[in-house]
Amino acid sequence: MVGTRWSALALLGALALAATPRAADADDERPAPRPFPRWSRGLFAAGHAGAVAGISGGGFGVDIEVARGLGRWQLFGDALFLSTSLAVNPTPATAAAAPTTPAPTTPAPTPVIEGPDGFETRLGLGARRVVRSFEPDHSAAIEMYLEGGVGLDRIWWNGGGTLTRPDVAFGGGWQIRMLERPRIAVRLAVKVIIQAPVDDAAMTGACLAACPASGHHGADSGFLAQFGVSW
Amino acid sequence: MTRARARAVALALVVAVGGLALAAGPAAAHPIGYDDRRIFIADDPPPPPPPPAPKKPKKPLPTELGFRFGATTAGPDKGLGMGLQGGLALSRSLHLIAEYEYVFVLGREDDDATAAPGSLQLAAGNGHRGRLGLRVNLADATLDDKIRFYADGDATIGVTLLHGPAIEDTRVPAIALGLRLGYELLARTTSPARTFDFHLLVRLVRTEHDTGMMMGVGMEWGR
Repeated sequence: MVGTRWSALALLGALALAATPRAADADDERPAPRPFPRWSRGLFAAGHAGAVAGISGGGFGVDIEVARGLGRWQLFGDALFLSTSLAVNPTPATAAAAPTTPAPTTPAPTPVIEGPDGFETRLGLGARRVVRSFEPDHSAAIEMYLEGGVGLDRIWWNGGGTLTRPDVAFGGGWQIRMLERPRIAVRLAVKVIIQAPVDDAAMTGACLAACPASGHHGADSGFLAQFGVSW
Repeated sequence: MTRARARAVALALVVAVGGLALAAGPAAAHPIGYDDRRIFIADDPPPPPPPPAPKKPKKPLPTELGFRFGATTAGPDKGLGMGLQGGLALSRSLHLIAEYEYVFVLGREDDDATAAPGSLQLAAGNGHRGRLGLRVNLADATLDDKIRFYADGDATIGVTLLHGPAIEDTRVPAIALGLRLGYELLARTTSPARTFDFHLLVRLVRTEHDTGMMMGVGMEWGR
């Protein structure tokens, strides 16, 4: 559990850094960042790279979000929908397709090897805070924010069975926010997601056939990247 | 002017000059000589000294806060990192810097030799990296007070803690020398942050295992 312990310390460190600009506000004549809109919605493309019981995996999908603005803070709930699969080491057939091999006149099809796959959703709740904001003029702001939250992740394996895990997430992002109508924000975010260990009882269906191979009983960590629009 | 009227005017002048002389007379006739006069205020405390001028509040040192994404090839494991970075401007050209990265280990040098073809791929691991150091400005140029291009050098020391399914708990200290190229947008209005910075960073990293490279892109907001 060393990783989990250090992750918790990292989260505390990030929060401490986030609080630093607030202390500086009192001594600084510069204005505070503009408040978030009272309500906003978001739609993002998302990519997740993580692990299940220590086996690499991930996928792509979309994330939708509803957020409530409270000054520089924003409380949000989001729903993530992804296709997901576990990674498999390349076979000799794929290794033979390396560029050092002279190209045949009729290229042989590269075999596609896939591990257990399925459909993944994650429901999350969290809070974010704008910690820095740069306004080149009065029409837009380039902002940095930090966020943290909790979530519940569930995978429906195509081979049968499900896997449900709670998690914690922390990270940050960058956004360009329009300060005049239309009040939209283009956002790029990355967050670390630390998921609860997969115990034996949680290994069902396709995971039961594959997951024990790793022998890993600790928490799994990964990251989620998002790019999209909030309005 | 008739003679009678001229006489009346002359009489009026004499009266006016005489009145002025009478009015001035008591001052000239003060009973105490000027040098002997004193003001006595019985039992009054001495007047308080004037209050000191209010001290001008000390302006806090400019700070920077941002994040960076990077990859490194140094150490026992190939890693991808992302994290926060902060800075404190000790002077215009010298900055104290602190960084934290969450590290994802992408693989090990011997992966290809040990991975069984067709087997499930293990996540190698993850970790945390912290660095402290100094950054010094080497060259810069500002255009129209709007944008500043710069080249900075930095020297850092740090440690990485690694952990994961495929690696044992490992502590990897490292020293690094870096070159940072970037630009800063300078605020012309009353912006909450005075600058926005985008940069590329290349570092030569030395660990106890080997020497490698680190490359990253980052953004910083300066106050």
